[in-house]
Amino acid sequence: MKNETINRNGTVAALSEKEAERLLVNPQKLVLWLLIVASVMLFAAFTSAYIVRRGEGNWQIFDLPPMFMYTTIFIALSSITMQWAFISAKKDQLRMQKIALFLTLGLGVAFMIGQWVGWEQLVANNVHLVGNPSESFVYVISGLHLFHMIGGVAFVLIVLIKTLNHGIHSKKMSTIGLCKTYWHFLGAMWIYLYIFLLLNR
Amino acid sequence: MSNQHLNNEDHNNHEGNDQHKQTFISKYVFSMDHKMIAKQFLITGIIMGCLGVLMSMVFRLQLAFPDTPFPFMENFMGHWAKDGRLDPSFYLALITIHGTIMVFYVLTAGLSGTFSNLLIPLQIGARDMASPLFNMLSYWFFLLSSLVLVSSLFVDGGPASSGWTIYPPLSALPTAISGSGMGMTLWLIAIILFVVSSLLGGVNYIATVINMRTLGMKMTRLPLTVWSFLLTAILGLLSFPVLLGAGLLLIFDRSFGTSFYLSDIPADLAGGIERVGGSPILFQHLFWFLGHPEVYIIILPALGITSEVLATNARKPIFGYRAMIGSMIAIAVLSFVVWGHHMFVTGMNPFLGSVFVLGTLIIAVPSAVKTFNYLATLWKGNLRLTPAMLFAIGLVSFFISGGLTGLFLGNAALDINLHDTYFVVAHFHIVMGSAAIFGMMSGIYHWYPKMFGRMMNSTLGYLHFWITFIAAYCVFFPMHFMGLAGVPRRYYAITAYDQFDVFVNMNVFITIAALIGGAAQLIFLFNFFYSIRKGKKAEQNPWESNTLEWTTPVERIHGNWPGEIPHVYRWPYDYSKPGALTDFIPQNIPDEGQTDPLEETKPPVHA
Amino acid sequence: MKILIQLRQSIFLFSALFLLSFNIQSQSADEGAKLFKANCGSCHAIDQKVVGPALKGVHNKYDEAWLLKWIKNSQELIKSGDSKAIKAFEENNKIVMTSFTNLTDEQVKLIIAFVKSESEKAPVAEVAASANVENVETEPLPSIIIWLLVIVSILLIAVIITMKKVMSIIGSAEDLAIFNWNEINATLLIIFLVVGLGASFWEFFVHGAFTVLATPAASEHGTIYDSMFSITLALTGIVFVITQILLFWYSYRYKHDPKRKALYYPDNHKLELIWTVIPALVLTVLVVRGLQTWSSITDRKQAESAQVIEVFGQQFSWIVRYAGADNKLGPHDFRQIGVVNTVGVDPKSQTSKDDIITSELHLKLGQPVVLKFRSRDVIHSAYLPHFRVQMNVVPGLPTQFTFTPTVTTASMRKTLNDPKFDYVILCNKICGAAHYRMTTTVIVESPEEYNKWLGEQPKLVPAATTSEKVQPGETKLLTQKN
Repeated sequence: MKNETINRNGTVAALSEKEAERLLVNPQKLVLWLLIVASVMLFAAFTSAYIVRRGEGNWQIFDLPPMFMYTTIFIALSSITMQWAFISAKKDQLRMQKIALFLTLGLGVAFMIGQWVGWEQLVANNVHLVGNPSESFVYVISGLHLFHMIGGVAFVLIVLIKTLNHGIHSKKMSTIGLCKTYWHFLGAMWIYLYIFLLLNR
Repeated sequence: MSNQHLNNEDHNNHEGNDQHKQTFISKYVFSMDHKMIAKQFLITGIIMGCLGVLMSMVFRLQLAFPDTPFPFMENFMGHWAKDGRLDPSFYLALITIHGTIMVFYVLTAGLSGTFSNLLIPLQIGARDMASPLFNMLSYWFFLLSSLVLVSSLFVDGGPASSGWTIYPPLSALPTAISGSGMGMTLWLIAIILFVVSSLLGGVNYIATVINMRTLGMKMTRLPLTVWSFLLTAILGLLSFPVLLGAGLLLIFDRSFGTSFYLSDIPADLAGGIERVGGSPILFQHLFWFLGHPEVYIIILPALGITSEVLATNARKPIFGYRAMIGSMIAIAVLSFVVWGHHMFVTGMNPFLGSVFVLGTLIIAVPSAVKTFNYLATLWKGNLRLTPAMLFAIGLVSFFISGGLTGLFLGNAALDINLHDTYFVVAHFHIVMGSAAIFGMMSGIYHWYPKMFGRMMNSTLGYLHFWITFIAAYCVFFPMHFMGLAGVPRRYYAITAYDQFDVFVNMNVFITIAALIGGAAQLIFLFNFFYSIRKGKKAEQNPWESNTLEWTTPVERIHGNWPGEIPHVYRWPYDYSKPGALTDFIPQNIPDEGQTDPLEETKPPVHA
Repeated sequence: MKILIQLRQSIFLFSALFLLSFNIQSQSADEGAKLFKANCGSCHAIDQKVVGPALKGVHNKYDEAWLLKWIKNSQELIKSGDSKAIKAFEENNKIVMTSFTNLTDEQVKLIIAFVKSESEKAPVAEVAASANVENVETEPLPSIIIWLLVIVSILLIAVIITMKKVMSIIGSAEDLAIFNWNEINATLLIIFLVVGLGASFWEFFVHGAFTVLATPAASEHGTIYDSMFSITLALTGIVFVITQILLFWYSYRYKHDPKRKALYYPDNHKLELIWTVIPALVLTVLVVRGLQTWSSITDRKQAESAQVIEVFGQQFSWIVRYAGADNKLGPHDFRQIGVVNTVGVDPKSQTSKDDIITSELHLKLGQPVVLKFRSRDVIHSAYLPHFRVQMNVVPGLPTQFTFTPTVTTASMRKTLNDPKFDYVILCNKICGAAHYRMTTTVIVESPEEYNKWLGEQPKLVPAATTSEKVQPGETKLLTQKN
């Protein structure tokens, strides 16, 4: 085997067949999963802080905005459409793949807008960022998730563009695979956070 | 597994010399080669370290000679040292930035960043990291973070000054201390960038070790350096996000009027918004949830390096290889359940305190095991006392001294009189400021030939070692007694209390030792930078070591090995194996008749 | 005859009044000094900058009306745009001066008067009332230090300048093996061991004598503390000596010898087990004993029968509130801090009426006391090393520590052979610029002395007006605003 070189776009390229065979997992996938673990720890920190603080008393109880129920449905649906897009890509069904991706993007954006509306509903209910920590936490926790969504939506957009350029198909599944994983993570995390806030108010 | 998931740029068919044509920028600046990135981390870490040491010289002068004006201080620090007298709140800024630099920038990025990057691919038999792009980004975030932190030195109000532990409300209220204004904001930005850098690096290290080992490199054949880097990266992955969380909530309290950490603070102290309902202790829980694993993130790589250096230079296997792995795993796991020992005097529920006492003292067991294993490695060895070896021996000495004082501090009852005194300062400076630094030095001297293709001058190395070793003990050992006399830490001067007058001379002694020790680092700096160009050219395997990095060419190439990656037939510690012809057998050398790398090698042949 | 008697009476009356006025004046001076020490002394001295600027002549530099505003709330004055205030702020590195909204105009005037009288004294006189200020003069560096530093610097510079030449010489020397560095380093290691162990022991005995553990603890739980410490010291000391000896001895004994081969000894499970189990056993002893000590010190039940005293921490002083005869502290509200009084205690509540606020902590010998801690602003920590007491003082999160003092101040002075010794509270959690000067005196005395002293302190007086006359013998440290 002659000189190999490393690709500039971040994957280990040009390993020999033998070397490539020994890879246990797609390296990019592993990296993504590890970053997901880190993100889980971040949310774990906030949810534990929430529980610890609540245990100390002086805790304001209020209803979560009704919009959050809808956004939860949006994001759950978007995971379904994302999965559909992935399967379509694997089967080389380009038309369905495009539709599914558009839907996913739309639902993702709807989620983000919905979260914002949810905040407005909170303010209307006199629940502000500045005030009792029970109120502040809801903003910070949902806000942090929203921040993660920005990356997710951007990723879906990239996948959509690549799809339109015929760059994603059964032989080139890695990008959409990673996007799917991240997207499901965002959905699962929101559902966890929503249920957590509902139960632990 | 097919090549499907790998990028399909077709380089498979290149023949002959095929280095990408590299410009200065792509080779030295925006490099994605792990070896170059390692050097970038090292040099940035060294520069930051020099800054940290200079700061410590300044505040040591203040402590030794509290009533003496030093005109040169005014030249460097302007209005913060009017008439040559250091301003008391700037003193606190100096110790804060000193601590921040040393803990994060030198001992985390400078230690892990350098050696994980350098050694993981080389020692496991990989061409580079799993994601060279993320690796490069990891360095650039680190550099950006360093620049932001240094810029905070120049703002109005000075840099952050509430200690490297930045407890609120002091760090949340700009009126409480001047560094809690813009300086603290920049500190938080710097730390966020640093955490991003650490995470990008850490995921790379883990993914590479798990995924990209060469044929025959079973997990139980990994050098202990790689094990330590792997466990360190896992620790970082799980704990740095919590620091991020703690910092995020602090940002909200500082800039958005929330009360996560603030309670019973009237509006005029808190930017016009009254703060009720928060808990300053919540911050401490979140901070130390990182803070404690952080110190193991610092010491584990140093311990891994020590294992490697001791074995190679003793011409003996490391004693108890599996026990060493087990101990490191135990230390890593336990490090998550002991954070409360930093908070024994916060008024926590005594039962909770007991839990933390238990965890803290249990962690002493695997630490002791590692120490005894080091001693057993030296026993009946044939020790080549190279500078790297001396620093490794020094590390063991400091690890013993500092580790034992941890048993006092980990005991909640005893901590009552010791918390936040110079006893604590002595403890952590011995384990981190001496032991971990010595690990870093040992690694630098040992892997310098691998990084630069040249040897550092060993005579200067001996001089560097001895002055530093003696100076470090002279500086930190007496501090235990100051702490036991009740002298608190983070005090600008102790002259306000007659009962501390006995320590006036001790402070002078400590400062002189510190100045000498600090100056001795110039020897190292000269040696390091001079030898890059003018050092003796290195052979391929100057230490006659078994690990894979020494099978790569001295000149260092992209992709590490010119041909195929070597396969591994044995563990890394076949030194002085009875029945062998040489006193070392590199990992890529099969036993006679061994064709399958995964097959076990024959046991030693005793006469 | 009658006239003479009248005259004598009037002379008597006149002298009495005259003396009384002197009494009041010197009491005022005393009062001013006390106020200065309690409020200003942590950051200011008369003749030199400490944390804040020197105050000599400040009464001339600024008029009284301005000073009243500045001292009570400097930040407000600066925000209002006052040019003198802004200038003063910027000249002092924009370090915020804590506000003193609780001080009455009268009290501020007393402080200014004190500063005035101190300013007019001879410059190098000991400033008695503003305690805890170090030497007025700055000290030059001792000459021996300077010489030492000069010599070392010259040596180092010489080494560095000649490094290039040195490196080539020793580079070739290395090849010629003039020095057997292995031997040299091995020998140095063993010398280091001997000198190092010797120095450790020396330090232990000489500097150990300076520690608070060298004298018996001044509290009941202090004895079990000290015993736990001794056990830990003994065990760790043994381990320290043995392991360091092995480390350096092996490094010397097994130094490189080309004729010798190292022993291939990768593991020994029995040995591993031994040195896992033995540390575990030793640590079990430490854990069990440690937890016993911890639970006895932190036992909440002790507080039930203890005398209650509140220790209030703020940037940068301690205020002590005694609960009085009912042993109950009056309720407080942080919003009233600096409004009704310095610690925000509601003066109208029944339990507050007998509360006493001062700056010194007096303790009765042999009486269990629970110190209840509160903070005004940031986290402080009340550290009383002689009593083996420490507890963080957290705003919004009251904490407490119960203990029984067992050694009087007088007795400790004899033991330490230091007639000026006093117990102290030290602030032990970084709290701002004057963290290192945030302190107050602690006095342990017999119950009689304690009761006498406490009886002399004014109770928390409700609805006081500033026009109320000062009665002879009564010092008024803190009163409410109208």
